[in-house]
Amino acid sequence: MSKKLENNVVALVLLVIFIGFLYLSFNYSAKARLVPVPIAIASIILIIIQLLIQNFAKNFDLSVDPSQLFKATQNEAAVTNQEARKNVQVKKQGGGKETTGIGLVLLFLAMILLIGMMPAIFLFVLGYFIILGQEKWLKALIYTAICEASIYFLFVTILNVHMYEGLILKMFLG
Amino acid sequence: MLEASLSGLAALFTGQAMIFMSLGVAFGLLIGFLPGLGGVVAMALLLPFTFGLEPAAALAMLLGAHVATIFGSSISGILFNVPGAAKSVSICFDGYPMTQKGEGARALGAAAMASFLGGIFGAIALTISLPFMRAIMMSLGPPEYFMMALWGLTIIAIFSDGSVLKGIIAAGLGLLIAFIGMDPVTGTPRYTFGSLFLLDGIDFSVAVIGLFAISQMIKLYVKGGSIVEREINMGHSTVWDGVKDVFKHWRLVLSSSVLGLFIGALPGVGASIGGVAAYGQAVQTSKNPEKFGTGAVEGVIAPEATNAANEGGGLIPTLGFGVPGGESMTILLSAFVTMGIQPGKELITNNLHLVFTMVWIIVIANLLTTGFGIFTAKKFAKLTTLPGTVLIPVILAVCFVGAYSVKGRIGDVVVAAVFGVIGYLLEKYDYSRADMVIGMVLGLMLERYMHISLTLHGKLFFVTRPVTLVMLIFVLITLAYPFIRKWRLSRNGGAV
Repeated sequence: MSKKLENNVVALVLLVIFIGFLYLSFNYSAKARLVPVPIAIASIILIIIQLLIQNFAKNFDLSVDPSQLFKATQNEAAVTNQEARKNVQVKKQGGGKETTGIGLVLLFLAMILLIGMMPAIFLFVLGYFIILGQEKWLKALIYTAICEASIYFLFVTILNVHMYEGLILKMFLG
Repeated sequence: MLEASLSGLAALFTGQAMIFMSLGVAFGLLIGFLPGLGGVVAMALLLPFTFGLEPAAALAMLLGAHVATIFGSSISGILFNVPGAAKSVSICFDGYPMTQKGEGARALGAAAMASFLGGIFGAIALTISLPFMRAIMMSLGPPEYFMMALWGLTIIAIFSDGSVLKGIIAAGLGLLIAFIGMDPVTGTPRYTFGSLFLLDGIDFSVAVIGLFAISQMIKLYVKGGSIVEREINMGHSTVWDGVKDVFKHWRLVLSSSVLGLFIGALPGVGASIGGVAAYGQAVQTSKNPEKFGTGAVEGVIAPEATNAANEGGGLIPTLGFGVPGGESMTILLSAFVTMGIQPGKELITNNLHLVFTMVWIIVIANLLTTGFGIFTAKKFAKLTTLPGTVLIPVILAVCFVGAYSVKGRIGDVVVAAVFGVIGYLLEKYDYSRADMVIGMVLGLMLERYMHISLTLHGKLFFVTRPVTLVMLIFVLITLAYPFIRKWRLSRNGGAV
């Protein structure tokens, strides 16, 4: 998908959300919709303008550089000249796909809902270390155990949080 | 005021408050070192631990962590040229060349002392501003508070990164999300789809965990992590050389702190802008501007003092008017909501001791950070070698457990995940997350004051009351000024 198409999809999703809010607002009393309606209408107008700008007036720049507003106290050339980061010995780790990143969050969420908080954390962290972190089994197991124990100590022992057991356990135990 | 100040200090000198402040400072330094994470993530992660704590202890942990991230992120910037957070980018310009010359310890000493003095300056300015704030607040009514919230939203949209239009759209989304739940005026359930869970509305703290911490983990996964491989060359200089440098350049510390305070007091203006502006100011006022970029200690002192003073400045609109001074201040406001503290008139008049507690937290946390940071910098800096693959699953787990522990509802975990994805997408397509969350914070405030204003002063309250009218004109000028300036710049070919 091109960047332009992606931007349009995001703007359209926002437009649908704002229209949804506006539509639902009319189910409420005049007093209850007094503030939401104008905000929804203003947001709809603004997102339509945004859609028009990104499709038909690309050179129409609506961004403000805040540092420009403090320009009286700046020496721009001196600042930008220093930005060259030479001799940085930093090893970049390759990233993953965006869908995988979002998928991992959703997978973790699904695991929590199904098997409960603590087992899900154990399996997710261990699996992440082994599969994506490419750590050795034993090292991954030690890291995971430390993580699990720390979370248990902080939240269950200190904060007295009763952890969620998960749908599967609830199904069996009722 | 003296009594409130002493009472605020006494609240901090309890075992619980001191332990949690020390933990916050240590955690803040740790998060500060790690590239890609910053003060907002540190506060978002600590938020669940504040529930059930005494207000002084909770604030000590949150603010202590936030103060510590400033110096923490500067350490990795100075030693490795990899700033822990965006606000410390300008510290690398001269901090890292100093390390290359074997003056790493001197740079750290200068940064620590400048940060300490800047922080103290911010705290003093906050204290001095209190009587004025109190006088201003007592003279304002609901219509003025309504305008204040509107001004907050406008200025936030103007100063946020990227397009102003997208900033306002994000704020609009935040405002509408704030209306989910029971309407406080009429008692009508709004946008709940019959769900009991949504009747309470979207919890700010859960949304913040999702928008800032979870989305940051998705971003870190997609971007890949940084592992510093360099050995540190601390060289021949000492920390005390840097400390002495700060006192030698006291005028620079003062002017940079004033700049930081001013930028912090403007709602929504990030500390990263302050750092860069302070660096520019240091270059312009220096007798040897050609030395900047090659390891001039003034290039370390100026941004560090600005960043530290920014905290006190950010607290002024947050505590006084309930308008957050920046992203991190929205998290502080979330904590206030949870603790039942109402910022504004109520806080400044009836809970003044809490305001002073925060002033003292800034002072003591700065002292702890400086001491702890200087002596442990070299050891802690090794943490920058920690790969992202270790951070992501652990922080995600803490985020989910944290979201759950807010109210013990599994629905909040779903909300955190959803907001994590929303936050990532907003960031990717340049719709400011900060604007959205500030919209969420200001939504109910806007609505409440609008209803009260309409009841008390009629439909045209914004033109019939002189102060409100002036404020409305000010809001419009704030919105138009950057564009007028931009237009004038383009017409004059770049010259101001």
